[in-house]
Amino acid sequence: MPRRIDKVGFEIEGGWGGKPGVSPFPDISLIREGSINGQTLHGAKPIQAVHIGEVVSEPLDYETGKWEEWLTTHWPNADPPNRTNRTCGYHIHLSTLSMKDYALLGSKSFLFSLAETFNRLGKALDLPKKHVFWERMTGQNTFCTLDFNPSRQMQVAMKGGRNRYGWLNFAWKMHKTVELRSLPTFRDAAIALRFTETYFTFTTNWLEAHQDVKLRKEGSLCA
Amino acid sequence: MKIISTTSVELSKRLEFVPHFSIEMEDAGLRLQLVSPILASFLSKQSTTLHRGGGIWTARVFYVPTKGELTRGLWLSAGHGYFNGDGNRINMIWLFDSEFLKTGSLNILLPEPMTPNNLEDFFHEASTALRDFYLTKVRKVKLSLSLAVEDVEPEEEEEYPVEEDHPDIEDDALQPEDEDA
Repeated sequence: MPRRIDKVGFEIEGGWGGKPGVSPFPDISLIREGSINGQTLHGAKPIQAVHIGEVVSEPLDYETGKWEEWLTTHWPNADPPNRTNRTCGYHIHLSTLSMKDYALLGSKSFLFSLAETFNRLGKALDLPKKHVFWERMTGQNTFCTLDFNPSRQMQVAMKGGRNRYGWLNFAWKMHKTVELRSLPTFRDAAIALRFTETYFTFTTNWLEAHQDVKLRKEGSLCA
Repeated sequence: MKIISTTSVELSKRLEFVPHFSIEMEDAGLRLQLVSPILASFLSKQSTTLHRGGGIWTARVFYVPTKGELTRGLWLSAGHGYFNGDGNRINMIWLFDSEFLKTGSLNILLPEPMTPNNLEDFFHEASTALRDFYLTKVRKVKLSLSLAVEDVEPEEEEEYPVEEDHPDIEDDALQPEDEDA
C-alpha cells in the first residue's frame, strides 16, 4: 500500500498523576487547559488529579509507527475516575504527502464513511449508550459540531473563533493538517489506540480507493 | 470591395483564437492554466481598473510586485469583501504575470489545497467572471475588429469603428504586436 499519510500528531486533554510541580513526562511539558475544568459543558465534573491539562505531541512520522508508543506513554494516567470528563477531547492531526489527497479529504463522502466506521467500532467495542463518545458522534458537543466547511477552515490562520469546532477541522493554514476532533479522551489508552489505528487505516484505504478521482475542471471562455 | 491586408489576416487569425482555461488539483498544489493571446494582448495595453460591479465578481487589472519588478496582472475576486458564495475568502485567484502578457499562456501552481466542492464553485465563479470580462471588455474589441476587417472601404477615412466606451483600446488592438504576427 503506497504511503498517503505523512505526519501525525496528538492533543490529549485529561488528568495525570505524578509529583506536583514536575511534568509527568520527560520530553514535554503539560499545557494547562482551561476548557476541561468542568465548567464549560453542563454536567461535566471537574477532574481531580495532580496534573490537569493538555499534552501535545510533536509531529511524528506515521510510517515508523512510533506514534503508537508515544500515545501509550502519554495517555492520561490519573486514577480512572479522574483521567477524563465530558469536556476532555482527544484530537488527532494528520498531514498528507500529496496536496491532492488533502483536498480529497475535504469530501463529504470521506466524513460520512469515517463516521460510519467509527459507529461500527463503537458498537463493536460495546461502548455504553451514555458514553461521551456517542455524544460527540451525534454532534452534541459544542467543541465538535457536525458543521462541515473545510474550505472556510483552511483559511483560518490563527487560533480563535468557532470555525475549527467541527468533527473535522482542516487546519491547513495553521498546521497543514486535518484535525479529527470527534473523539473523547477515553479512560483506557487501548480504546484510543483502536480508534486511532482505525482512523489511519481507514484514511489510507479511502484515499487509495479515490486516486482515480480527477479534481479538474476546464472549459472555453466563449460560451 | 474588401481590403485584406497582411495585418488584417494576422489579426483575424489572432481573433479566432478561443480562450481556454482549466484548474486542477495536483499533488503539488492547484494548477491554473489559461491560454488566451488576445486577452494577454488586451491586458498588456490596459492600465485602468476594470470593474464589473454588482457585488458578485470584480475583475481588475493591477500591478503586483514580483521578484523586484512590477508585473501587470489581473485579479478576479469575489464581491462582498472578497468572499465567495460559501462565505470563503478568496485571497487570490490568479495573477496574469508578465509571462502571460508576453506569451498569452498562463501556468501557475498555487501551493494550496482546494476541496472538490470548492473546486466546482471556484471554476464556475472564476469562469463566469472571466467569460464576462472577456465578452464585455475584450470581445467588444474583437467584434469591432472583425467588422473592421470585413467592412473597410478604401474611400473611408476612418477605417475602423471605434468603441465609445473603450477609447483607449482600439489604437492598441489594431496594431498587433510583432510577436503575434
